[in-house]
Amino acid sequence: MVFESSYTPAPEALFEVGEKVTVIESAPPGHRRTPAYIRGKTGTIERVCGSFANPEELAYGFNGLPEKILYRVKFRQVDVWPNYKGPEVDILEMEVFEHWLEKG
Amino acid sequence: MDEIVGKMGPHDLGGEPGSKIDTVDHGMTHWEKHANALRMTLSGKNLITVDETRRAAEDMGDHYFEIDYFRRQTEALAIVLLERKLIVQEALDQRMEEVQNRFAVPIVPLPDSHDHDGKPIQEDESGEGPNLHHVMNISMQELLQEKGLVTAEEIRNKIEIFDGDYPNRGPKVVARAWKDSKFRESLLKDANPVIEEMGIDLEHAARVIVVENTPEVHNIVVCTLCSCYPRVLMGQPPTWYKSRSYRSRVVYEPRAVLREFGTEIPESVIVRTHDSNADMRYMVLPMQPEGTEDWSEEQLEKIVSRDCLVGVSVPEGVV
Repeated sequence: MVFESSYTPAPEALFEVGEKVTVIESAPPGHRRTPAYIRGKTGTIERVCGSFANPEELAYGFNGLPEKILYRVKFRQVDVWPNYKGPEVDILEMEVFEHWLEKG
Repeated sequence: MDEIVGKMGPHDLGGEPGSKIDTVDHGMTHWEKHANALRMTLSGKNLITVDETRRAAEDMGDHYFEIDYFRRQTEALAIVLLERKLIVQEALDQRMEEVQNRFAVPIVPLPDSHDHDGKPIQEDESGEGPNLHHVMNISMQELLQEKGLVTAEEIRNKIEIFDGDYPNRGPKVVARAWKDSKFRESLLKDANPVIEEMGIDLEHAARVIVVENTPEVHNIVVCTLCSCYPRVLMGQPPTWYKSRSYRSRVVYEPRAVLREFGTEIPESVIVRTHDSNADMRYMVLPMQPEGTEDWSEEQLEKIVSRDCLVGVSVPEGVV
């Protein structure tokens, strides 16, 4: 028996592992899964999780299609919180959908 | 403290100032287990989506923190079922009244002559019956049962599996990984297939990422937006995982939070905090304590606590 992977295919992914990305700094109304504190912050793609139904649509009873590509983005804590008190090496990781990311 | 602009709503807690964390898990009462099982069964059957109930809860505004977690879940579920026209308001109101009346059994007073040597009698029954939100959940379940959308057995089974099965799975996976390096390697690369090969059914609900603690890195998991958690591997999240203080603080002061759980991470070790808020679910693979190399998987499972799997704690070996 073949079991399903944790990850789904995402052949159309715009970003690749290691690439620098910035979370879009905007605050559209409605249900979003991108916390306010991470908007405008820069990190790197840690892995591509795959294509998933868009939660911003699912939340209102729509089918969430077309699917959106989901990434794990790795941030340095000192880049997220200018006043971060721990060591510079500390990391924060979070899943962010492609339409919330821009290059660089 | 860094200022955060553009907070989405009461649920968007990451980076908010928070108080000391109550690190005790207060468990769940029966009505909470029922509320949880109803919601999980309905989303498992795709009658609702978790995204809809999240949105309904977020739209509550100040009411969000005026009621507790399961009351919020209950009201959010009612909103979504009404929106989807799976139930109608009038029928819900009427059923809630009927259910309330069903529990309105008067308590028979003890005769005055009944004497306990003058000691006060502690009455176990308050006579108040179930709380409003439990009545609401029972009523929603009954209305859905009558439409053939859900059965009482499904809800009972869900309550049982949450209590008896889910919480034991994570420790089994960790014990296997400690004993079998090939398994460990596959687990870290792509967790779902190897976990399911162990005979654990992830119910298509969880896409799991296992993150490994090493002498260089310590992992800790949170969901700042709600309570994302690998339930099918670890059961219902503990009270503190859903608390405002844990959700707000871990992302900006993980080391202070860890200290409150009695876990001191040296400055030379990277703390890697995971804000789990979308489609993947995270479980920490702790480091195997020294001196346990010869233990069996069964022995090892017992030292893997839920707190170790979230990353607020580390397992202890020979005491």
